[in-house]
Amino acid sequence: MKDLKKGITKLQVIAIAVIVIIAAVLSAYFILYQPAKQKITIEVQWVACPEADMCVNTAKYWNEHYAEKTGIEVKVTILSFLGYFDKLTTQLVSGASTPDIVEAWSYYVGMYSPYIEPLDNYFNDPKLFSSPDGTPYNINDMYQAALETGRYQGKTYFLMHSDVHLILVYRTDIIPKPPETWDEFIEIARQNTRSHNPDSKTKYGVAIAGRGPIDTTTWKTWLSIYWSYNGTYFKPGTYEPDFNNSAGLSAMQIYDTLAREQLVPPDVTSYAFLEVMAAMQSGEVAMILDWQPVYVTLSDPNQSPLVYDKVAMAPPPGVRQSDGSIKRYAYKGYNCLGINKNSKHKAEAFKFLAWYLFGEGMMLDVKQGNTPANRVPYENQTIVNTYPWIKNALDLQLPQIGRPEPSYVDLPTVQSIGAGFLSSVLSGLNPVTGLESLQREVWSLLKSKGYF
Amino acid sequence: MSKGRILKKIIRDVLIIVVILISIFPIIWIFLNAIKTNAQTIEIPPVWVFKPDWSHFLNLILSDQFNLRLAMLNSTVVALSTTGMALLIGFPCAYSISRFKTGGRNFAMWIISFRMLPPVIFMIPMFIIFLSLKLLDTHIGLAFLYLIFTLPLVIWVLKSFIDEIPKEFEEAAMIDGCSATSIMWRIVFPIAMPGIVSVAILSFFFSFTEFFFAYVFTSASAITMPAMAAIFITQYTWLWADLSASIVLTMIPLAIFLALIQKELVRGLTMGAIKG
Amino acid sequence: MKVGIKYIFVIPATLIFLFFSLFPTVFNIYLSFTNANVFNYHSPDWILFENYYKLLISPGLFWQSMKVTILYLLIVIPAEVFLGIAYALLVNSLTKYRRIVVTFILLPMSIAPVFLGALGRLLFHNIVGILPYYLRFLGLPPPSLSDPIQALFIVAIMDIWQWTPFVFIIVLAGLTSLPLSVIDAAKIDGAEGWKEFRYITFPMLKRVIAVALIFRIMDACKTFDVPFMLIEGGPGAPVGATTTISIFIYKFALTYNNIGIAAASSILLLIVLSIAISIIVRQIWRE
Repeated sequence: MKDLKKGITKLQVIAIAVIVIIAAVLSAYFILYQPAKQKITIEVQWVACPEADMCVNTAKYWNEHYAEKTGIEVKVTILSFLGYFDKLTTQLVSGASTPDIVEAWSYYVGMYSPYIEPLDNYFNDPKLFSSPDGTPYNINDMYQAALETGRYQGKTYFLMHSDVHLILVYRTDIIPKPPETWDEFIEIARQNTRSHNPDSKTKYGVAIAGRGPIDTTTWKTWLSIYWSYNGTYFKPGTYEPDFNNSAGLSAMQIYDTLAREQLVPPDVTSYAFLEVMAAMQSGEVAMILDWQPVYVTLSDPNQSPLVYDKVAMAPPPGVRQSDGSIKRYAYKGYNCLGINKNSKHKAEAFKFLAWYLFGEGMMLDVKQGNTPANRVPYENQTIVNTYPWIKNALDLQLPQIGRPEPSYVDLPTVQSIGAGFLSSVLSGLNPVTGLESLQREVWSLLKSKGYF
Repeated sequence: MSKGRILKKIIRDVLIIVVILISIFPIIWIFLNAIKTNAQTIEIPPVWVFKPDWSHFLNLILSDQFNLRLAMLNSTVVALSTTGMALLIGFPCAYSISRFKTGGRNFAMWIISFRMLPPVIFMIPMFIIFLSLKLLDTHIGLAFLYLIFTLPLVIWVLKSFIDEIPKEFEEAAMIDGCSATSIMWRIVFPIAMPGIVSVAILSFFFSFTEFFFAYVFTSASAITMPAMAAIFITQYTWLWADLSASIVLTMIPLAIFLALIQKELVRGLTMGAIKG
Repeated sequence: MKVGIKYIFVIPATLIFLFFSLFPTVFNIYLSFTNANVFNYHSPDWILFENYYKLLISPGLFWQSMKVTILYLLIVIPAEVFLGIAYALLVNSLTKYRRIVVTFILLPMSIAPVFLGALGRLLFHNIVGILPYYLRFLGLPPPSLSDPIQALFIVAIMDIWQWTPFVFIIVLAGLTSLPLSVIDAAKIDGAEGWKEFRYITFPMLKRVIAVALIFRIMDACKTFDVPFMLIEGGPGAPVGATTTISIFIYKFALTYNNIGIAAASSILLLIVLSIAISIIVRQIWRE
């Protein structure tokens, strides 16, 4: 009987505990529930990145200076990068009314457009497209290419906040002058790969991203090469893809050479920006093609003690033209912001967004390290001289050589298809076959969706 | 004790030590990562002797930037709620299926069919449901969501345990006139305790380590440990040391839970009595 | 005893399943007959059985992923069940330190699988990972995530490491529940050690082991986090060397933006798994 008593007491304890917990949770909810404030709060959702941290500070500035005047308070939510787009897709497709402003990558402009508020009318409203004290903003402050990237079928959905480029980072102690052409690039890679040159200071000449198909950095790397060989994405004036040409072949051959001659680490097909950066941090790689923000980590003595004082950025190599100039491109993506179609405070959100991207907010972010899609900082010599990252962007000629992919709904899918085949080529697939398969897959996808 | 038995004991002890080493060796690596600087985690040759950097742990525990205390509390609340509910709801269900074959094989198969589907397809429809019921970012919402995953396990495991319990005690109690409910809770429940403990552990552990649904369905108020720890995975860097520290901290409540509940993982309370 | 009491016991569970699963399941079936994707989610076109046809006909999609999943199962399930039972037998014979040992053995399950996969990216990195470093030191070739077979084994080993405790704790509970009387009687009769296990212990544990087996099979089919984080289901695309069916469905839903195919795949998976599991269940269901 004593045993049975023990059993009863334990059950009661569990039951009581569960009931108490549920009651506590429910009462906490009701006690903490706040009635609607006088001020309207808009929520801006970011993925964890330095730009998000800048937004937190800039939003704080807005709250301190303009919340009273405009009645708009801004709250910034930062989410982990892991699963961010899954969550964002779920939020938008389900019709959630918060967050009011969402941050995404510019590749998703077309895909998310049904869930984002078109902004063209807001631009034409002087009460909204102006500073908190009424000074009107100029839409042409933003680069035309950036505005275009945020448009789908003529309507503006997303506004670009910051641009990110794919660039070359190299070891200054090993390589006196960065390669200008892809041929030089391969040659320098050979010289710095120990299996080719036993005196090489590094084990591998190059590290690039080779992961796919969910991570698509390798596709964007390849496009930089492809474009420099004069490849175009679509047949002019259409949406018919055209990759299977001499430019495509040349670009594929670069990948094939890198893999076949083992100029890249053997597990390169598992590399995203993270592994590429780590390879550089280890000191065992002479050059990498990676996203420009990794340079911040690479030049930080705390994070990259082995190489921080021996690395420099350069624009990606290109192809020498008949007149001696180099045709080169740096793949360009953006972090962009859009207003949730189901938001309950769209006008207020736009008011903040205008200030944040066209007004004072934009400069506040520049001061924190941002390279915006807005032309004003780049065209102002004082600003260029004060902020090294702006000067850097100009030195790398990023406004000229930066090139985004065309915006269309199925862009992310094509990127994944491309990344998958590139990964296979790096694993040993014949580059000609890889290119043909790539062309065929992308062509049939776009055909089936009625693009041409 | 014979020589043979001593030898057997030694072999057994050696094997147990091997098993323990296999289980915790990677965890030791994670702990070491947590006390290195972020730069040291990727340093080669790997460093084993270094000055420990406790700042990752301290930042997590003391600073408000990461909401660790909130995440720990939330995870505990959700874990206790979902485990408690799973047992309260699942045990009678298991008893009914075991003793009375309620619903037959089809009902039992239907119960586990939910665990056959990958979570990603539930994401959007479930989000819509939670959105309309205002269950997003609440403890009770997440607890119910986890219930769907843990309840089938609870029911099936407990059913198989109850199957093995001889019916003599229940039959005796029935003759005495006890109701089915009291038989179930007062007689069968204590005997099935080892099985109950095992599913309680599994359910509790699941709640503390599930990431995707926690990440999508919670934000500021009900954020759980995994969702909080993932903040160290950013767009341009991954902070390995901080991530490792979060993982280590998540183990603490789980270890405490194990310490408390293992008391019940003893030989069935009245099983010995069947001897007589 | 009232006849209806048995139904009352199952009603709460039934209601919960019904409530939370009815809408998603029905909606999922509906989506599988459309060409839904993120863009046209709220107004997709009906294409009826086209998704099913495409999945059933192409060898390189659903069936390839099922092949990978089955291969994966064949590696991890026997290992986990064998090791889980072995661990449980070892621990069951312990008198002292039992709780500590159990805690240590359960620790692998305390790491979120996503983070295990995330840390794996660091662990197996050819240049900065400690595993390749020490293997090269010993003169052995480091396992590479870029090699299809090695990648599968790496993912499998991590799965075995993490989920053997799952089988272990269930079997240990089963061993703890065994009636002393029968075991003592057998000991008196002379059955000891292996004989005791084979003829006394194991038959009584059969049902418990079977449940652990069923759930591990279902969960291993759904293995997602570790291969996803480590190598995105690759190497190889769209169906790579570690693209379990769960990753396959995810890839089509969110990466290739084809939710219709993902929904159809999940229905096919449900059918396949139901058939497979019911075969096992039939063996152990006591009528």
